[in-house]
Amino acid sequence: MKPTLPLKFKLILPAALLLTALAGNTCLAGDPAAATNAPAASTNAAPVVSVKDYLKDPAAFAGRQIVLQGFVTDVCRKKGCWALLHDTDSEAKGQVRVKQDEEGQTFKAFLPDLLGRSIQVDAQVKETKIDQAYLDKWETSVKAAKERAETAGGEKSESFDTVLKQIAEYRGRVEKSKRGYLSSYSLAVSQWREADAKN
Amino acid sequence: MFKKLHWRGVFHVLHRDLGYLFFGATVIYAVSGVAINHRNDWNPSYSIQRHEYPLTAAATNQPLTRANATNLLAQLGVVEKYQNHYSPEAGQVRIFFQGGTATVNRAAGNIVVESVQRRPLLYTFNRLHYNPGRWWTWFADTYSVALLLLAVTGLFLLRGRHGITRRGGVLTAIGILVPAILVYFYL
Repeated sequence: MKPTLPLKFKLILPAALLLTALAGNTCLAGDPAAATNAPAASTNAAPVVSVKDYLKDPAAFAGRQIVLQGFVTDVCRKKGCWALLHDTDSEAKGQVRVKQDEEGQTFKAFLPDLLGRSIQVDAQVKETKIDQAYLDKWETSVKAAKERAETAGGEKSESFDTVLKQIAEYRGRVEKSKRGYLSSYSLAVSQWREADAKN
Repeated sequence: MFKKLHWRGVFHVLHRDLGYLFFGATVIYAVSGVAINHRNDWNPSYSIQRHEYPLTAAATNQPLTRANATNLLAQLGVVEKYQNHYSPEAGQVRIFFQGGTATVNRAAGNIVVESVQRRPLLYTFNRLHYNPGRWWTWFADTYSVALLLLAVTGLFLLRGRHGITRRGGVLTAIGILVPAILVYFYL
């Protein structure tokens, strides 16, 4: 008679194999969180830029990969997807908001524990051109949202009017601009590390 | 080989083994679920201690240098290491130290010290609940499938008056009706 395994082993075995397979997949894919856990020097040739220098002329970095250095003053409490950085010079003015690159696979969340700590972020400086077409699209969406809100009797229309006023103001500035558009710059972060600053 | 097995036997073993395997995950999600559900009433991941002090002479120095900020922390009894400071708005300076902040409000004439500490265990559970990375996505998806299997197999474990055709059926119906009623009235 052919020996057979007891039922419990027959069922535990596939379950264990399933878990092993999943664990294997995870290892093969690499652990992105762990990969960026340890402080590490930037491996790319991107220039290290202070928050102060970036704020002086963000246009100079448009489309470039940079390593931005500053200390964290605030973070996204929900998902850790953004952080506000201040220059390590306490007297400097202004802050930069950096956001997780949505295409990035190695990003580790900005946690509240980072508040006050100096960090370096690997970021791509992205330029958004605000021209008349951009403003048309924006205006249409705001008007549609306002109409929906009024129909539903929800959000007060004043908040939409404020945005529409802002759009009108932008139109004036776009018309006056020599290039025919305004530029807005954002920083998409692929990963970050703690910097060896004064603390 | 499974032809010889009764489906109820398979369900029983599946329910038992998946229950054992995912006991840990169930505890993590249950505990963090309650903690996060009440996040409007408390901070589920961090314990925050807040103390308010009157403005001192050291705090009125302008600009507040690093040395002044370090002295001020010492005066306030903060032993943790100074990290950085900046001015979020006119008349206000925020000093970061390891594990907290001291905010100097010159207009209000006070200094607010907040010490922030991770809640042991809860911090980790909540981080896992919010999905910290792809490795957890795999595990959580596996757990979700296991939970479905646990629910389905659980319906058919018993026969007779406690089974799905009698008492079990009534309780299952109540369990479906309660959320359905809440959805009808509140969503």
